[in-house]
Amino acid sequence: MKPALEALLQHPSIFRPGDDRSQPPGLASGWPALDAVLPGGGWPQRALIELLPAGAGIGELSLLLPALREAMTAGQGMALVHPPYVPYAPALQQAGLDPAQVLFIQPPQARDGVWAMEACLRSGILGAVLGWLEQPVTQPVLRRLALAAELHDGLAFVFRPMAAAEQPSPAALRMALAPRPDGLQVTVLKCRGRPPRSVLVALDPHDV
Amino acid sequence: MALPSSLPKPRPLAGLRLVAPCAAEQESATEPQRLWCALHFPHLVLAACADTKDIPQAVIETDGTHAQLVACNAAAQRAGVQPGMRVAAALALIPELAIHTRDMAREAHLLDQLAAWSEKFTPTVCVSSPDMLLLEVAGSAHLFGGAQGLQQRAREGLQALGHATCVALAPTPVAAEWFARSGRETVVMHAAQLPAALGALPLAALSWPAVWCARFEQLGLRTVRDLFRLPRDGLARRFGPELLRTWDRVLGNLPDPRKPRQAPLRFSARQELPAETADTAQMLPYISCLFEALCAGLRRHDATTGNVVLGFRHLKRAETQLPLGLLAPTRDPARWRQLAQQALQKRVLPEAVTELTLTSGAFLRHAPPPADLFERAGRSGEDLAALMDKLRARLGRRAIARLRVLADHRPEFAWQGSSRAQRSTPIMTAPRPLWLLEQAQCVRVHAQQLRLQGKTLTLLDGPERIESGWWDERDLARDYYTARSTDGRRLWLYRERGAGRWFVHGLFA
Repeated sequence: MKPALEALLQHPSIFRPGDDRSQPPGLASGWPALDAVLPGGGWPQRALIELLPAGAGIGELSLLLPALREAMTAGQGMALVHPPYVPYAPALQQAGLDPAQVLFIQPPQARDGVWAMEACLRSGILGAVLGWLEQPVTQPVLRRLALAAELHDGLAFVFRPMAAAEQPSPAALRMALAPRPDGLQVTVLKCRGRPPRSVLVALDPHDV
Repeated sequence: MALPSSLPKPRPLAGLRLVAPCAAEQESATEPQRLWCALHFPHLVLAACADTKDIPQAVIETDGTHAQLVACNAAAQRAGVQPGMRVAAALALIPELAIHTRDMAREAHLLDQLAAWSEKFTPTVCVSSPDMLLLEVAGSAHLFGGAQGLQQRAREGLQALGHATCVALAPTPVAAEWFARSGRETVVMHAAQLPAALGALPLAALSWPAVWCARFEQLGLRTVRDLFRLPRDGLARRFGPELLRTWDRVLGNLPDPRKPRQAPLRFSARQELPAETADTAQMLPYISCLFEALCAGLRRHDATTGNVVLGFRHLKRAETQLPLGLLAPTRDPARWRQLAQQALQKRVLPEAVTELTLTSGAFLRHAPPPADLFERAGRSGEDLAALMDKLRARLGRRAIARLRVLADHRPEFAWQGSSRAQRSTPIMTAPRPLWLLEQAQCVRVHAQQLRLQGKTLTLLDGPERIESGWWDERDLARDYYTARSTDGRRLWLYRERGAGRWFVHGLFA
């Protein structure tokens, strides 16, 4: 390849599949096996990450805890929008997160949940925003969230039921989570610049 | 009349007014005759904490080591309980005595309410001690049928409010206080009559320092007359100059200025609409005009406010009110406008609006967060409150909470959602699940196996016995286990001790 062309291809805005250089560095997930398959060596920031767990209580939050601790060290808050159950403050404290910095948002209607999540993402003051979309949502709604996440200087996770895997999504990263006796099987369904892969994350039982 | 497609631009407010309290009046000895009305509330301590039930009740005050009765109701007094008793002595007399701890903040609040009520008699109302109000009524007594008429009106009005009061009038504030405190409903109009009228008052009924009371006893002084009879130089030697100063203030020989109560500032303004409309978009310029006026008023007083009520007046029905509240008080008109706009999006007005009103809550002292050299650290807390305000305006007050850990062994009482960041008080426990079920879910036992939604559960860890809460009748006795379901979920289970039923209480997410 001509040196001039090579120099041109080094430009950061040019995207080449399989080239980590073109990815902004991610926030280390705390699980080396997972970091190896994530673009930029960690959870991408300023991007919507879609998680499709097989059910609640399989370790879907434990997977995020090391990164959430990292995102909240700067004294920034975290929002949990429309979670399926009450986030239990003593457990958050045991996991090293300050409960006073956690916003627990229970919108009266599911439709407001999307609005609340977008407002949290656009506020620009939260280290992490986690939202749960139990009901099916339309493409424009997801695109709005993805656009808001691009402005959000932190982590943005949206949890959807496994059945949503069949629909297309504008999220930068989509992963299915399935329980295994020794951890969590994380299957990357979609990832910008990487082929889909599957990896077993051994969740430390003391950290769960 | 056809509605114009858009309303004309609003003009600056004409009907704006700040509801300010009247200016403080200072007393001076050279001024003409004054008349002070003292209202003494002997049962305020009781009224602040006890309920109205006719069971023996008492209020105690603790100094850290000893608890002493400061007040008790009539039912308790009938059984021989007296203020000043030790709690143990009172409980020995009435084992079922309901005991409340003294609530000074509520007393002050009650007295402030009573002071506000008393402002119907005079603009000069002073809070002189925790159970006493002083009203300067020389100028206004004739409007209420003279001193006696005013005394009667005050007594009857306060009785209707449920407060037993002693009302006394005298030319000096201290004399009026003395009459009221010793329970005499005296009216003295001229300072010259004071020595004779005060003479019979028992010294013990007045509020003196404890050291003085003991010394009065030693000297054999029972009444005020006994005190007045003694030579002044001897009194000054024994009690110091303060007693002589009090003496002179009682008789009106020394000025005794009092500071009147200042009612909290509030803002209230209205804005007429040029044409009736139900379209909130057309009202917005007028609403922002009101907020501009509010914030200008706030800035003039270097204050902020945290809640306002926006009112929509209709022609044929009662005003629609839209209360707006902020966690972080502000005087930024843009913030208020944005909040009103958001709240109005979800609101449908029942009828066309003719006039808008804006009433503020109490003005708060403006305390901007200290500027930080490294900008980010200081701002984040402030902004989080602003974000919560924005979310609450649309989703409702209860939809957003910050979490907090409470020191309670009972799992359902170990957390709390609050609107402000509050310090957690954790206790050491076994690992807790990240998801808690608000209502524990029943687990069926089938052929000696725990089954939930068709899945078999295997116990992994436990039991952790939690047996607590006997003091507030929500006691529980449970054995907690962690379990794994065949679909891979880790659950937090408990077995009720006694009944033996199994429940899921959380999920290890």
